[in-house]
Amino acid sequence: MQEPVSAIIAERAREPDGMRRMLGVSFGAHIVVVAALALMPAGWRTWQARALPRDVLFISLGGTPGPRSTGMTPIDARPIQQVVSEPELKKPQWIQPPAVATPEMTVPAPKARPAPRSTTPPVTKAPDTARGRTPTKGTEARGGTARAETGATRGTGFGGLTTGGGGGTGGYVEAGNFCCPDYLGTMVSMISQNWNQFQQVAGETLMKFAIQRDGRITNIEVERSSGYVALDLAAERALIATGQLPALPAAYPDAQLVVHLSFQYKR
Amino acid sequence: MRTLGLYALAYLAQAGGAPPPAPAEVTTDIVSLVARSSLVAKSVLLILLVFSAVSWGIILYKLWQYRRAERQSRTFIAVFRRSSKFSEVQSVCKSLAASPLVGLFQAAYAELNSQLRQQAGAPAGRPAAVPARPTLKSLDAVDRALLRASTVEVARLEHRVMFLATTASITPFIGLFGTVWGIMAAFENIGAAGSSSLGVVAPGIAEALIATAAGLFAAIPAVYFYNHLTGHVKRFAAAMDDFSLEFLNLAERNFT
Repeated sequence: MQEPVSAIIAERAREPDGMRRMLGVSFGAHIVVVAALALMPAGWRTWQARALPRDVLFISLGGTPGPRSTGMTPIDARPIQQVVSEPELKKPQWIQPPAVATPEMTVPAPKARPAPRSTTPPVTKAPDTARGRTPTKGTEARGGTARAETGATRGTGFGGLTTGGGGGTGGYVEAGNFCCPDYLGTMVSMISQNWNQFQQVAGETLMKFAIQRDGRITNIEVERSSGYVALDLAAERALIATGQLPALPAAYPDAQLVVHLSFQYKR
Repeated sequence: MRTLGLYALAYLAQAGGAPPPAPAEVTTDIVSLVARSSLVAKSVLLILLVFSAVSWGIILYKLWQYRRAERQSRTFIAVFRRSSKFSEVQSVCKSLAASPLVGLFQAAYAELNSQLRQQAGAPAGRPAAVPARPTLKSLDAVDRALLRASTVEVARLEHRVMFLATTASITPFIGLFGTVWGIMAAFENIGAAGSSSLGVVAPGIAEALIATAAGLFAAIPAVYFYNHLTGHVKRFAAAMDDFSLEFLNLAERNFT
């Protein structure tokens, strides 16, 4: 039994060609897009044009180098113990029960009993404020405000490190979250060795430079001139002469570390 | 086989084309992120790429098919209204095969023809409209033939559109899976490195998020075109209903 309609319907139900071709076109287009993404110059596909170098540190090189206390807690400029005189404490007194009144003379009456005179309840327990407090003996040590002068004046600490520095004026550090203070200590001492601090004028030069990951000092520039070419040049010379520092610590993630270093000359 | 070859090519283009990232620099561009990512992330991306390619293939194919069907339906309706004989219309059907109305017409015409031929003692090869006043035995049978044909036509138009709905609903989840996997790996790295600084966390998470982006990239066109194509199919179904009623009217007027 074959209906004439069925043949036509079966014929119509077949899928026309074209699907395979479109699939091929689509796959081709996807491959082209992916390949273009992969092969295009690296500069085009970064959406963030170039990571700005992070300004991490402001370090000042000032005065003579102080005592080196690498890795240890500096003892200067700490509150020290001071003897404080004890304020006089009043010795607490026990509360006395009220004096018992002398009974009046009364004619003894066989049946009457004298009414109690006192309405105060008998004290059996001392109040809380009078609980036995032993008075202190001797003097008490407390944190004072006096400073112990150890010869080392305030240093510029890199997160817990002192690098010393005499003179004590204008030593400052503005550290970002740089991981490794030891490295900065090394850097400052290496640069100070190459720095002729004693010029004929006083002034301050702010230098800016970058430490590459392998420790090279690059991009040296005078950020704020002292006004004297000699001072600027001496600072620049110190950086150029130092040239190579130890490689940046592995814990620091960026490719380079930008440092602002101030060179302070005091005649 | 052919598609398999394409997969391999796509994979090569993805993995091999990326330049090795500079050792010291932490770059954030897509390709180096993909190149550094794990095998799971790469295979998730590959699956999403295949889904996207197949669904775009279906989209292009369906758009092309519907446009052809629409154009040919217009021509067919014009021819149908202009001509006075069904046999004339039947002769143009071959060239307008993409139109769903042609399927309807052919089915109804076959049914009509067989009824008239039976009635006229089956003179072979004679067109239906030639006998002096031929009458139909049953108009219902013609109606049923039209219904059957329209079911088949709608099924043919809708074929493979469902894949778009599937793509739209599962590719975001596949991408999410890739992201979750990547973030798990990133946390493991944080644990191993022992520090939670942004420098350790961020690249892993950026890498993981690419999978979600790829999932959305595959899903969004699929959602849009699924709705678009379904709307088209509805319009076609309406046109087919309209045409079958028109045909029935003509048949009733001429053959009863």
